[in-house]
Amino acid sequence: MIPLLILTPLILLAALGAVWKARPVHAALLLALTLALNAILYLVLSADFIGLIQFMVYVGAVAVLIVFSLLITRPGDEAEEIARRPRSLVTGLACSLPVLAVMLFIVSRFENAGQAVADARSVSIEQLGTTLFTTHAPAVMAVGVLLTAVMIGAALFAREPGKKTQTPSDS
Amino acid sequence: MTPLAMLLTLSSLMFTLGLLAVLTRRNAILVLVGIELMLNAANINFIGFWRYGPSDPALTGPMFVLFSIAIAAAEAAVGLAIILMVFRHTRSTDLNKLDSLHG
Amino acid sequence: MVETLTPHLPNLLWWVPLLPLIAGGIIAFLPDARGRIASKLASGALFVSCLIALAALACSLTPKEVEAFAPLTWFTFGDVALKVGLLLDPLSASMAAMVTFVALWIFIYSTGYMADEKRFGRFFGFLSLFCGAMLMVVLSNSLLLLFMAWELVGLASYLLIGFYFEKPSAAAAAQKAFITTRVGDMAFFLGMIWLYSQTGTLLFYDGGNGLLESGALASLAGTATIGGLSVSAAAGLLLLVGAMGKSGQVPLHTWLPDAMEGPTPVSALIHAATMVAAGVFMVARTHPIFANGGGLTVPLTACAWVGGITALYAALVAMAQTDFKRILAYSTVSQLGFMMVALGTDGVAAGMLHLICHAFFKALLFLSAGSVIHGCHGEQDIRKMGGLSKPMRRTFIAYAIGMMALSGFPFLFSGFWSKEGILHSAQTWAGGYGPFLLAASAALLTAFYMTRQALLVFFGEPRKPGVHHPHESPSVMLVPLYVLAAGAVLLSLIATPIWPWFEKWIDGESAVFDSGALSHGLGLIALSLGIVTVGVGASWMIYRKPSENSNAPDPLAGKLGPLWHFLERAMGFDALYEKAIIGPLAFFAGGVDMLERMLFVPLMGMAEGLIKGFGRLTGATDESGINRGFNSLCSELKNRAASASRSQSGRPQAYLRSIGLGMSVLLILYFWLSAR
Repeated sequence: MIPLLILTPLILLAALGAVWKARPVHAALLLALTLALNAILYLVLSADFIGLIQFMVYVGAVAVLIVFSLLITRPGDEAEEIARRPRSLVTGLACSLPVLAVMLFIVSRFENAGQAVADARSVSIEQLGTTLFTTHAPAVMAVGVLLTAVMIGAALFAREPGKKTQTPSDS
Repeated sequence: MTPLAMLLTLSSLMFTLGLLAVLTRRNAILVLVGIELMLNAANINFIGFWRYGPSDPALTGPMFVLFSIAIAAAEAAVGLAIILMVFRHTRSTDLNKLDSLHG
Repeated sequence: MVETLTPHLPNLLWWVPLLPLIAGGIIAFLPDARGRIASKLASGALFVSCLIALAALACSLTPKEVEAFAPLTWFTFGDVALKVGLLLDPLSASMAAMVTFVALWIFIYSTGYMADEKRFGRFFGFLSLFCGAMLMVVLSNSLLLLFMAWELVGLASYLLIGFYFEKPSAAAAAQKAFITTRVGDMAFFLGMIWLYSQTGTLLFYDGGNGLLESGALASLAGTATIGGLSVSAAAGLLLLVGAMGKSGQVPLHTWLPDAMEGPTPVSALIHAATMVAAGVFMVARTHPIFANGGGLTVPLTACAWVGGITALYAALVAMAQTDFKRILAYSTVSQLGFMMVALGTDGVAAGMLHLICHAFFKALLFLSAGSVIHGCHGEQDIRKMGGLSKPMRRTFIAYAIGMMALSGFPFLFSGFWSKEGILHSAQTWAGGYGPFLLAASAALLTAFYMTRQALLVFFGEPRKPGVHHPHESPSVMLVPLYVLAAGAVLLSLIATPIWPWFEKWIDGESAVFDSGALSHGLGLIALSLGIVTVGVGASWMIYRKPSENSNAPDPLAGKLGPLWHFLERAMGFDALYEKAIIGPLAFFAGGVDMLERMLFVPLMGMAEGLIKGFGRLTGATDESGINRGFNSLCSELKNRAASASRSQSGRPQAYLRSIGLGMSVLLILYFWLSAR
């Protein structure tokens, strides 16, 4: 419980920073921080494997990817000054606060559910792997196909325009 | 407040922050940031319920989160690739400039 | 030959009237304005008709029962059928032969006379129509068919009198002819209907059931009607009025002199030889109805007196006329009166004989008139002619033969014998001497005025300078003259009392050559000779030396004074009709016209205005209300759609905002509703 109490505000602060900061790189880095703190949270909740995966994939790949894209596109800072755009902020709040209200309302129903369970439910990797590749095998295969497609698609999107095929003699 | 309730609150707040980012950020990449936050909030939810809910031999919580992370990563990659393509065409990442489909 | 033909007669006989009718119909559709084909077609058709008619004549020469055949059922109403058919007896055979023969020669004459006419083809079309209709009148076995053909003959007459319709006088004359004969036709029609309602048939001879056969005649005589007359008498009087119209008896005669506006061949054929004879023929045909009841029936008496009065009247008027053709026209009226006298005094055969002889010599006279007028370059006033006997020798000879036949020159000419036959029957009539005296006086005057005409036209010195170089006509116009002249003479052979072949044949008996017959009626022959001598002599005395001046008054005018002018104006009949009938009618017509102009035209105008106004109103409503409403609806829709489409900003974040908001609203709603 205690680690939870410490981590929750930290995560929220970092997320707020990611959303509020005007300078894009700062926001991206704060996102990385948020994701990292999230991973720690998973570890605290004895979801070791998931926590490590979170570190590796989210922090190590996604956040880095985002930073790289910012480096390529080099956006300016002024445009992101949300404080200078009160109307946009108000509209955004007006649209998201009801969502929050609904969610908090639902959460309020669970106030007394899920008492702290003392046992640490750590799961062995062997167990995870078996479940993954037997019960969810079709899903794994689908995800594999999806990732392949994404890889090919991203490569297609990202290459330079104007070149249909690259023959050895042309390059 | 039980731990579960706290986790759920955390997840709701993080989701709302992500939504706010999506709705107000001008830069497309920063909108992607918001999307990642939202996905993450959903993941917290799953882990919370797995940890503080009845035991589940199928390990639905972690399994789902695994797939979620994988797909979030794939989607971030494709999204960034698209943003880069658009950047090449329009030399900017300002979302407000991408309104040629207006009515 | 007779035996081989007789079985085919029923079908052959139909072709006699049909061939000219068909020729006329074809000509109507020919685009041949020059008329070369038309004249040959018409003449050819008529020639074949003539051959068939002569063959039929040959078949009917032996006295036997009347051949009535080919009744066709025309139409039926309920169980009553109206039949029509043709009839061949001496009366119809002789008429058919005469009509086709005379008409054929007049056709040939016309090809020469009308050669410069621009409506040459149409002329022959009308002539063919006329011939077909006239033959139908003559050959018909049904009173209804006769009446219809009668009307067609009237139509053809109208078309031909008004042939030069650009001349207003010709158009007026055609109209006058048609309307005057119409008066007679109405009476004819009424009589016909009456006969039908009384006897139930309109066929003349129908194997015992016909109109002219004993059964029908008995029922006609038996029934009494208005004024104590029997039906046959009343109907007979009506039929007589019809004949009076067509044959130009007083008082329905006024159209005949004006009908001279038509071309001369028309005058010859229609208003001398054939159409005007149709009335006489009709009376002869329906004579059993007239004579029904025996002795002096009312219609016969009326017929005789009307004929006599007409004969004398027309002869008197003819004396004072100066137009060549008009003299001949009045002469025709007079001779028709003679024929009516004969029919009324029980001399049907004599009347028919005179009709046939008259056809020949009157046609001859008219054709020679045409020749004279042609030769004098269109001059028709006899006061301006003179001395034409030398330049136009052949025409003069033809004219002379005709004139002598008409005047009744003795022995050689058929006119003498036929007129003598009429006087004979008038003299022996049981109803008194009135018609006889009238006819005899008319005969005297006939000789008088014909001699006058002959002297003024052919003898003496030419009176008008323009007439100085008259020329003779071409042979296509002269040969018909010779043929008709020959006929006028030769017919006398069958007319003499020595061998009264014609009269006996008409009456259905056989003729006997009786050389002693002349001695029986010697007194009458002497009277006729006397009449001719006095008439010719008096005229010779007065007109022997006509004055050089063409405008000098007639020698007789001085002697008779105002009577002369009275005669010249045809005793004022036209003026009388003008005042008594046409005047009130015109006044009435004017009144109706004024009523129309003042009442109906404004009414129609108002109605028109109303309708137009209504149309404009609906148009305006449509324009302003419906169109504008629709247009404004469309533009309103467009504006709203335009403003609605502004929500499609194209910016993704706007869409996302609305999605978020919408979803949260839905969820709130869901929870709120599920909580209730």
